[in-house]
Amino acid sequence: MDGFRRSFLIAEERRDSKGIIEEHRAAIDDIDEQIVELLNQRARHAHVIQIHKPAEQMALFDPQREEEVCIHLEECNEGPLYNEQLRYIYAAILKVMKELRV
Amino acid sequence: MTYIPYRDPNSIVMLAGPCAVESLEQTQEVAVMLKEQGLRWIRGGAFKPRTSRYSFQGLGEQGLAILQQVGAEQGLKTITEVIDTPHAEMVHSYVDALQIGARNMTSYSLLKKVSAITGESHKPVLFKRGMAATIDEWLMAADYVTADGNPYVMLCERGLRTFETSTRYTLDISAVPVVHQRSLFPVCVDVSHPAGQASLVPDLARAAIAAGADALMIEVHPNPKQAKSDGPQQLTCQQFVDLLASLRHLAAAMGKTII
Repeated sequence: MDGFRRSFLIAEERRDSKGIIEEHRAAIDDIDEQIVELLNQRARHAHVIQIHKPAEQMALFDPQREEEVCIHLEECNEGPLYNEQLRYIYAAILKVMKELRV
Repeated sequence: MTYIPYRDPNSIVMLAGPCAVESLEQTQEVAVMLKEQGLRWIRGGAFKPRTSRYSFQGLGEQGLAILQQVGAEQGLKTITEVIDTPHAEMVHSYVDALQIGARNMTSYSLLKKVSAITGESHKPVLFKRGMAATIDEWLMAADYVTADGNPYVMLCERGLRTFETSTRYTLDISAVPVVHQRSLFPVCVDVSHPAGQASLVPDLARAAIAAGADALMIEVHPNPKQAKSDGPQQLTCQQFVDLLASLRHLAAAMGKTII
């Protein structure tokens, strides 16, 4: 294979990989839009709950409920994320939900 | 888990007394002063968790007996630290409230034992924050103490281990509003341990009240220079009386009474 063809093929492969990456990035952008919408929906529910907690003598931070949330995540987790990785992500989500200022 | 709130928005509980019960006379002298000041509680250590095993370890059960006697004489309620699971019931039998220290915040067998004992007696438990614990870790650990139904658990901020060396610990005053925001627990602030020196205690005590603390813990000794533990941070009786007068003004401005 001469030098010209070799560099041409590499360029082709690169264009293929580049195309694949762009395609998946577009999918990720779509998913992120949905995640943002869903996180805001989740925040709205959390906010309503926070408003009603004092009347029920319930604390803002409820470790028992947070564990229930995580167990629920694990029950619906089909991978490839590990359960523990979902918990990392949700640690941040739950922290933000507790600190809502709507 | 829901908690029965018992925060009294109009009062601040003062938990003062010597770091360690050293003798009947020493404890009596402080108790008489506290009673004269119209306070309700006396603290005093009988089992001391010391950094060095060669330091004064406390009088043990004899110290508890002294604290109980002095409390009865003066009509003061007593609080002391419990450090060992096997001793928990014995310590509990002598006092009106138990303290779990910072070093034991994650000693789950002790937490479960105290939960079981006080689940029946409903004696208050003062639950100190570990010196490297986050507030959420502290709140989760507190659930071990309330697990058997004792709602009378008060959290106690006592300073964190940080890079700062000019104070013994760094008092996390923001823990007071954060705990109030996130939980239903009342919060005490131990101002003596983070100060490490008596001269810092008054300002930290005022800061704690301003931040909304439900209780204060302050160490007082008739003769701090002769104290067997934590002498530099303990106030003399007169220093405490002067500080209390200042704190009462501040509390009054917030619509509260120090009891």
